[in-house]
Amino acid sequence: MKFPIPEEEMLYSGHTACPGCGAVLALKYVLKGLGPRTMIVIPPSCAGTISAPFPFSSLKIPVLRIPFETTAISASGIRAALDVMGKKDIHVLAWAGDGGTYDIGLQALSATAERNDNIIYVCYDNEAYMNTGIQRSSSTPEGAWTTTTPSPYLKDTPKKDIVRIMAAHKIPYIATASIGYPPDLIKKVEKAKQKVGTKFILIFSPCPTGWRYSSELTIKVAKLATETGIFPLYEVEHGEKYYLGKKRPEKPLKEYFSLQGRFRTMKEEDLRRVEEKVRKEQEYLARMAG
Amino acid sequence: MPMQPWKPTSWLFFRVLRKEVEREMKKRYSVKSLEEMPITAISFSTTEGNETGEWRSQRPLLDSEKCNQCGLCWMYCPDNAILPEKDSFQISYTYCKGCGICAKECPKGAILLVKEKR
Amino acid sequence: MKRVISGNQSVSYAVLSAKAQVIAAYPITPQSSVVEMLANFCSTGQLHTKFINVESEHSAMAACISASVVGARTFTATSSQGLALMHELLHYASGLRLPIVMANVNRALGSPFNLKADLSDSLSQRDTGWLQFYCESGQEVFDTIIQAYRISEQILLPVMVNLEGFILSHTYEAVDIPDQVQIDRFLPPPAPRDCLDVENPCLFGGTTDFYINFRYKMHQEMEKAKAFCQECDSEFQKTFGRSYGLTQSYLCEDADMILVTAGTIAGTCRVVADQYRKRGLKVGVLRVRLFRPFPSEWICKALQHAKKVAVIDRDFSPGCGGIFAQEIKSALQGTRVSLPVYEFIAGLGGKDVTDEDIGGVVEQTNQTPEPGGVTWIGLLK
Repeated sequence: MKFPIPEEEMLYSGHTACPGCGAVLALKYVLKGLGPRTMIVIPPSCAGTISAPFPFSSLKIPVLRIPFETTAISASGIRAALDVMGKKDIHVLAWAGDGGTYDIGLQALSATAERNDNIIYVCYDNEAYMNTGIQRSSSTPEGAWTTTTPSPYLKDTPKKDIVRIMAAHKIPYIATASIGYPPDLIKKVEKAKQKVGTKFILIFSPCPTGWRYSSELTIKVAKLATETGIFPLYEVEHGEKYYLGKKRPEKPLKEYFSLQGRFRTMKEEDLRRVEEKVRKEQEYLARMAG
Repeated sequence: MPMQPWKPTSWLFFRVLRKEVEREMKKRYSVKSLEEMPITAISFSTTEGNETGEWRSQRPLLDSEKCNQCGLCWMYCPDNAILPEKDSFQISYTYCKGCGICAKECPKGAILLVKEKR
Repeated sequence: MKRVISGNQSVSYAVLSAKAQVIAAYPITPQSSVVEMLANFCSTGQLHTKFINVESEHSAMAACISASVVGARTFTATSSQGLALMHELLHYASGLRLPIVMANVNRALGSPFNLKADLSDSLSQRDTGWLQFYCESGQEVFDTIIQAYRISEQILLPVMVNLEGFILSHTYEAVDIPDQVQIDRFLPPPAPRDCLDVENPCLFGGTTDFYINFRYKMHQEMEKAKAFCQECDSEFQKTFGRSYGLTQSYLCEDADMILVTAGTIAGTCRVVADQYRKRGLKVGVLRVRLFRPFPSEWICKALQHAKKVAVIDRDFSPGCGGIFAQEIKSALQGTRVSLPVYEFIAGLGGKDVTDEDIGGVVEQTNQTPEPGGVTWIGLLK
């Protein structure tokens, strides 16, 4: 029997993720890519709750739960200690959600990237502060409902482009990945672990609870985001070389938005505007990839 | 709907520290007394005692004749509740939360979701 | 060997001698030269350590916490605003029971903006679970940091060593730096403890309803810490010939009036005490060196024969008064509730506390029959 991805499980069953959770799938795949010689830091987030309360743990690797805004620097601190103690082969994984990356953790992340500390920073993006009850973050897309952007005061600013921000730091490797394509995600993780310096991976992680869709559609929603061009898959090396994934947008945006209850009040003109933005983004990426 | 018998494992995760829960914790996880507790919250036990199968309202059924062993259901399960079994796969009803991803993603339609009976 | 160095440089030499493995620090006046000198030691290869140039003090403490959880010996230094920025992480560090040592150069907290000595910054952190020492000389700063590593690694609680900004940090004195062999004998490499380890995975810092039990364990350790600090100081005396105690008494055995203070003001108090002794007034000086855990027993013992006590605070808790005064009054509650405690606040924002000021304190304490609230020294007329 052939398995599409590495067989060894790095998570225990019995964790308290919502049924159909995208975030725990992201964690499952990244840990398969990194293996057991990994240490992970987790801030308060869905992942923090999934990692389980005392005296349990749902991960097979050492975990340090850290304050919210310190994900990147905590990983740097672990890296420094491991290097000084001569344990340079252990991977250090900083695992934060979109809130802990785009918002409160951005300062520490920028500093870690500037110092080019040898860590892998993964942001699993479920586009809101889901753990505290679906509040908007700067990663929430325009037009989305959250508890702090209820209709008619839906989020009116576009999703922050964290990849551009990280590219400006000229770190060795940045990748966008999606739980809809686990072999591609794991390949990117394996590529990251070969490189020295700060590596940033943004993982698209749909959330049935917050995005208001039925739990079995998680993988379908993740794939549609890439197939419609909302979440393109690409890699950036040293902030300059862009490599686009093979998937090009081929499906209409309406298919992606119609599946999610958080976009229920989206109007025709909003859809046109988003289509225009997606098209511009594709052009930009094509230009950067050369 | 009949009353559910109280199951200590699931209740633990609602963090309701009742006497019975404390006793259960001490029995299962060797947290015997104040002296034996670690100096800070360091977890050494796994979550495998938490039977999340209790959460299900729908149950997936795998038809092994239709199954082509592609492994996609195993890959996409968020709870590692689909386990390799000889040269096929088996669903672990102890942990399956009934999210339905496996049924949706199966290319052969070999997984059927039925209402969970309690 | 003896070197003529500043208070800040004493900190750096002590960290060099203690062989810290991970240092993360952010510059802030008046601490910056600590970090500059440490960076210099790292670049010349004298100090084999990972030096992380962080982007804020909050990150400096976060780096120390995570490096310490892996088992490394860590160090950071800061002052007022930086210490306040780290506040949530100070709780985190003591809650995780990590042996981190920090040098805090006492500086006033803004607003209004002031760069000079004031103990309010570290005293505002008195509930964070960190041990706190207040030093009076460069030599004491050096010695206390060495002791701090030994204490923190034994009891697994972080230690803050305080020195006053500019008054102590930037003034020079001859400091004896013992040779490394002696220091290594006093301060061996840290004993193994529960750490992040891929061979034995675990989860640190989980959510728990057993929280109260962990706090109780910290309380138990803090109570034992007093005796341990005393023991460590005696060991230091045997190895290096110097000791300071948890409190330092000067002529307190037969004193009618005892001046209680912390830090460099104690030096001025001793000069004034000698002057008054010549005039027939028996004045003694008690310097509080260990503030957390509060050495109530030691203080009550030192004050047992006094008729009046004057506490001079270089700090202020709005709505309450001087912080040392409150702690001393509550310590005396059990043994000598009737001992009058006169409260004085002086030297805030680095205002010089002169011998005339202390003389004023002695006169007022002597002449007033009852203490009547807090007296502020050095205000504009």
